[in-house]
Amino acid sequence: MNSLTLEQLIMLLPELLLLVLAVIIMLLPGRARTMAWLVAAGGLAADLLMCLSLWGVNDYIMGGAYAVNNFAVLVKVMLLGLALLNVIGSHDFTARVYRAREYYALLLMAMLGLLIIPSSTDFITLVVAFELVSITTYVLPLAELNNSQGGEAALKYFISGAFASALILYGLSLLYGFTGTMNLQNCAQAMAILGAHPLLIVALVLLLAGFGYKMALVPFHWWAADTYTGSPSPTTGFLSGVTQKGAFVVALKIIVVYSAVFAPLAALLLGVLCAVTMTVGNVLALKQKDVKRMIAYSSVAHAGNIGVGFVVGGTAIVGSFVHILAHALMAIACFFALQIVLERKGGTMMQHFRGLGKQMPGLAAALMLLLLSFGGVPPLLGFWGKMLMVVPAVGLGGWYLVLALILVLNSALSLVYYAAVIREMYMRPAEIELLPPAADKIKPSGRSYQLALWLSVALLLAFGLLPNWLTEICSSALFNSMLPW
Amino acid sequence: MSIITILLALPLVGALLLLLLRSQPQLSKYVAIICTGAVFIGSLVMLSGYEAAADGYQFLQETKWFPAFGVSFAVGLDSLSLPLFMLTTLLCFLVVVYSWDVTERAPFYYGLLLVLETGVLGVFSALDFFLFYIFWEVVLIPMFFLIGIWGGERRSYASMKFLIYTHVASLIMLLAIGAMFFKAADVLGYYTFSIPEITEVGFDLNFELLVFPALLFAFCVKLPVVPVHTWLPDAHVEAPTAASVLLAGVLLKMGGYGLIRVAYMLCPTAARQYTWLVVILALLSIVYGAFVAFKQDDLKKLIAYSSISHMGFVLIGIASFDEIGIMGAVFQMVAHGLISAMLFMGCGVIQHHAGTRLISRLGGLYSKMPAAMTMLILAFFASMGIPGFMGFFAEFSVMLGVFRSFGWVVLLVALGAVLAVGYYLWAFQRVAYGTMPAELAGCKDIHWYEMLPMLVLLVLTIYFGLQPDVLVEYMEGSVESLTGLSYWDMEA
Repeated sequence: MNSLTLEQLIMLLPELLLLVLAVIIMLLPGRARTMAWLVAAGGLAADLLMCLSLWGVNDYIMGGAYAVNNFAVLVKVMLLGLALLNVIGSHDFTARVYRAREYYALLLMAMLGLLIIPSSTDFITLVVAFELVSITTYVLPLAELNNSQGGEAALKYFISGAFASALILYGLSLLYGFTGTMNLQNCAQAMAILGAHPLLIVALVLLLAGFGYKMALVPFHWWAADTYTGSPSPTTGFLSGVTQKGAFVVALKIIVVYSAVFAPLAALLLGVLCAVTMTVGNVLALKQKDVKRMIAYSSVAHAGNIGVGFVVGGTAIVGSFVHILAHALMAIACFFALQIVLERKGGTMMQHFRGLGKQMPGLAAALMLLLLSFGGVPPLLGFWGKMLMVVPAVGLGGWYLVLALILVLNSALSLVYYAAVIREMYMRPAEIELLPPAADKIKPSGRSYQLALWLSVALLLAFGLLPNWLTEICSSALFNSMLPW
Repeated sequence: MSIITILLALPLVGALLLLLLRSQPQLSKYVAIICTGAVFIGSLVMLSGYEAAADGYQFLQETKWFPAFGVSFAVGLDSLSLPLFMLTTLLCFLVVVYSWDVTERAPFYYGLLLVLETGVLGVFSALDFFLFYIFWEVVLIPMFFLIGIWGGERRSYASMKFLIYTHVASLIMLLAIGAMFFKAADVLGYYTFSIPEITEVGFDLNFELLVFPALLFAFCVKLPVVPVHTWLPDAHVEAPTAASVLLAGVLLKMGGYGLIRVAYMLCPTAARQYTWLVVILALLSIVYGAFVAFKQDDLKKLIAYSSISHMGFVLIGIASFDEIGIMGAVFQMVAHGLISAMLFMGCGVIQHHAGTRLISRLGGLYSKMPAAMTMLILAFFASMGIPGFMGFFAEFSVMLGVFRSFGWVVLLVALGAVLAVGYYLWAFQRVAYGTMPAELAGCKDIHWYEMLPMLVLLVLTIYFGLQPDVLVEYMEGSVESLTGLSYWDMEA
């Protein structure tokens, strides 16, 4: 084992900083909620800058077990930025939850795991990092003690997550038994020599199923609706906007390992999963009367959308990354918007949205933009990701064309329920009066929600109007420093 | 920067201004009228600089937007798009004048009209498929709100139906565009969404046969063509008058424009092979639309179905692949744009003053509102294709073209025109004459702001009806590029 030099330690600073900050937050006095918030937000921002400064570095540390390259930096910066948005918005939320310190400490620990994922070069690190993310987030839905749904949400999330971990580990044990290595690169090479073997396929299926749970692909999605709906909205934003996105990075790595030998099979398997996920997610979302649950199902559908890019490969992976970012921004912003609606109107059912366009014009406008972006209406960012996936898929033809068609039709289908919410907001008179904005200490005004919401919307619009910059960075990170090891 | 870019940006600036002036709704109609007026005047200035004799696109601008994918902000106008562009600027201005009494959420209403104007103008002037698609989608959202907020009783159903139908169609179009984008990149060696460049490529037949049906579907929904027309009557019936005018006047033209600009120009060989299908669809629209129009009790629904019938003329004119037929189709688009605007305005007048549009509850209105009824019957005449109005020249050219290409099929086309006389005159008889229901006794005649736009449209319809050459001269190039023959050569 090589020892770490100081220079190499610098590359690990972002990870170490998070660890230190999480400990510091736990050492803060129990009532120092704002302080905890400040430390978390400031820490994430500092971390983001540190990661950015690593752009262009291409190195391995710790004996090749940890890679620092543009791909890793891109993912880290993206996830840190999203987490930062989420933390910024969470201020008002944690002002009234019982354990604010723990909330932020857990978030930071989850982020630590998420930072390790893109850099890991072997399955062990990958799985350990992902477990770190999972285990810390199992607790998050419980942040609100008086929310009875939170317990159910957490339990379902935990049980499905544990089950998924078991599947993943079993798949990995097969893989290890067969190839004799846990290193991603060696594993791929071993497969190239050994050729296709049924056991490897079993391992692939198990891994896809395991991470399918984490990505909430149908039929492994059943926990998602309950967990996303039952959790407090800021937590849901984090789960669906940040941690779930980490699972996609892991999935991408596994696909790349397998792509040498099993490309057609993996494409078919994952392609079918994605097609089913999109369709089922959208059809279920169509039936929901609770907008939060609707968005939860739409998150499931969007997971399918993102997967399509992985299946198609090539430029479409850039599309996937753009869509990951787009959906994460939309989900985080949308769940904050829902939290505002919950606090000001008492619920998030369809009738709570009636007449919102007149009652809260600013919020309604932001929500409308978000919903249109969800539905893939140009020129919002939600459109570009889909477009960058669909166009290469059409170019490839065959099965990919079918997949593109399914994506497109689903996108149209999804607009039905997004438009239904818009219709409630603008075309129906209000039935439920606004609750007065509570400005006391226990129930803050919701300014931090607004801030995070508008920051996300601004980013969506900015990236949507100038998509070039984003796609250039994504494609340079993906194709120049490829691959995930 | 091209003048087109300025004209595209102006309505958006107006919409932004309206957003800032939300607190003073009484100002919004002035902002809207100044803005649409400026766009109209700007487009007239542009028209004066257009060289009708020159080939190709004019007032070009190309700014790179998304170079990795070959997307750029490219706009320009040619002899096909220019008349439709002018039509849009004119109708948007007139619609704002016509909406002078709208007070319900006025800033939002006028803002949507302005965004809609940008969208439609963008569709007609975009020279990049990507831009084209984006503007195409931008058009949907304001129309969705216009129908959904200011519409009639079943507005929510109608607006959703409109949104879903047209959105599905545009996504199918996106797939087709994606396919053409890659096919063109194979040939050209670089990625581009540029419409002129992809048009130059020339695809092989198998590919065309695959793409053409997708494009046909996408544009036929918008046109609309039976059997994918069902969103139109609902949308029209529920939409407020201004939205109906724009829907029939310019939004339907997007379908016709797309058919010519994209489907027929990019897949000419496949288009010829699918002629049978297009002709059947067109005849179905013409005859079915006319017959169903007979049965309508709602005046607006009657006009909506007559629109479907008249759009069938456009479709069959294009399908004839005959210089005169295509000329007629393009002419019919402009004619229908002006005439249907008049029809829906007339219908709106009845709705506002008599409180209902149901023919069975109207009657004897001539004695109460002679000016309005005169305008209505003149609009009916124009739509019927009475010589002297624009509709005559358009329909006659289409029929001539159809006869030269398909022979006696023209009789079915003529049937559509004959039926139009029937349903219009019958409707007018029931609305204007006969006994007046008691509840209509107090209704007043047309307002100045309703009269003015209708008069402008009437004058234009008659002027171009008597002097079609003025317009034909501008459109000639578009026919040439499709058939390779000039309309004027044929006559010589």
